[in-house]
Amino acid sequence: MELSRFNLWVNDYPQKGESLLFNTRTQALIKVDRELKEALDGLPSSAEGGPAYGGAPESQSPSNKLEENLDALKENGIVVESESEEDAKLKDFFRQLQFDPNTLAFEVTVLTTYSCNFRCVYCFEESVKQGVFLDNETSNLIIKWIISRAEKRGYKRVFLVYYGGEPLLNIRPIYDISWHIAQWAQQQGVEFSFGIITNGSLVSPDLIDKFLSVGLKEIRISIDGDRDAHNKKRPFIDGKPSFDLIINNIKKVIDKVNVGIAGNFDRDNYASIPRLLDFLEQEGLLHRFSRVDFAPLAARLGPKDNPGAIELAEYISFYDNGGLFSEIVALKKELLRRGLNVETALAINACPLIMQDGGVAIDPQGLIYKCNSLLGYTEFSVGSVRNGDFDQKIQKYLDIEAWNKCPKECPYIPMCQGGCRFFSFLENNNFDDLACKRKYFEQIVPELIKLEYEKLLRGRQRDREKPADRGGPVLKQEAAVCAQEAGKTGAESSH
Amino acid sequence: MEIIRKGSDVLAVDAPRACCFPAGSLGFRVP
Repeated sequence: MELSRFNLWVNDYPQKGESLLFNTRTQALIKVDRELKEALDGLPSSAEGGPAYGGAPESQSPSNKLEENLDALKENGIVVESESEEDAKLKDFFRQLQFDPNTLAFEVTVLTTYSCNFRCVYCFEESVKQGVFLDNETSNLIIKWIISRAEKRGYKRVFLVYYGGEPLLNIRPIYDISWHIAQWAQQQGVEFSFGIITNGSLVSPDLIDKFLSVGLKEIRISIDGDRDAHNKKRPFIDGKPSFDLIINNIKKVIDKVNVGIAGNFDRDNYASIPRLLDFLEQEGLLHRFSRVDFAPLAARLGPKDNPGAIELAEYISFYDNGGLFSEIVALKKELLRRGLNVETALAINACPLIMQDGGVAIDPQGLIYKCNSLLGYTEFSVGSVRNGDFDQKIQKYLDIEAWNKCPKECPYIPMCQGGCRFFSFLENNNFDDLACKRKYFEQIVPELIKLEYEKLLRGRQRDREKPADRGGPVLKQEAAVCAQEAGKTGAESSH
Repeated sequence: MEIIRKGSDVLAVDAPRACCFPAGSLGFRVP
């Protein structure tokens, strides 16, 4: 019996002498007291355990706490029988993540066009934008492809994301594809809904009404800071500002549909995000969004005929030493402080490129990609809806298994899997190498564990206050925690 | 000991996942 090598400790939190214990494989989050921490410290570990953050709890007398809690510790993956047992569980973790349709909804992104009415300064499709629109014939092939794939793999949930370019420049395929998939899903007993990622400039109540009738669940709009900052990053194609129009459009539809905002930042616009939040609060919008989140900008591939000539390469450094670590954490804390539903990013990095059906994106010509950052670079496509199944190129991505190159003792392997494959290409010009971001994880994860803890506690509190109003996957998870807590035995709790 | 979030050997459909790596997704959370 030994400690999992995927345990991470945050000591002296939430109170001195208490510790949070997070397991990166099972995603368990547990609060332990001083005595149990001491007992666990006495167990052997195949990899010296994960790093401990904060001060070590002071020593206390030995106890039988370990024995009392052993079953729960094993169930949650904190304690394992042996290194070989944990190796097998890790292997099974990757198998589920890559190949098991029961662990994932079938999420397909459909590009209605590569054209856009904005000229965002960082657009990752800059080199592939063109006036190509999804037509009827290709829409019908996409419908057939999605249904065939979902049936073949036995998916119980299908979720479509419409994207572009600006997807609302070509609305007919959104309605047609959704209508057909919705009909099929209803007949088959499959859950179906869809979202739209849009710049917000063409959103209107009539359009939303039309889409709600065929399964629209949420729209996602990018806002990159306050008015000035956003207008610099995301102007119309003729250079005109877009901020005020977007805000007005949001006001017209936010009572009809879930609206999430997702912003991008670098060092230039980071400081303006709190001002944006203030503005949204003053406008009475902030707490009506289904989600608010911000993430650093990423580098992009080079010209269409030379994708390896990376552009905006300075953004790669955001995740290296001297990167935007403190900014990322500070923003998430700010969102939590304002009572918003925060994605802590304490999560499994489910790289779609290495997952059998992950991240499927179909462009207006019917070409299939497995990572949005590769869209439009045809050498990276993995098939066409005209040919039925994926082509053989997909196999080279499925076979990468970068995690086999990771140091075995790294506790972040389940969260990271050797890193983002797109980052590997940015940094190494191939998809196979490690894109190790351990320094980033070491600095940011303890703060994310604390945030996750605070968020889950807040969720419990909200559940107690308004149990009927909750929804969404994270919130359901929080509710499950509450249910579990309500039913737990005395042996599971020493508090 | 207090279990804040239960862990599992079996991945849940709605297990927290992050893409784009690693700061968290700006895409959708599948309902």
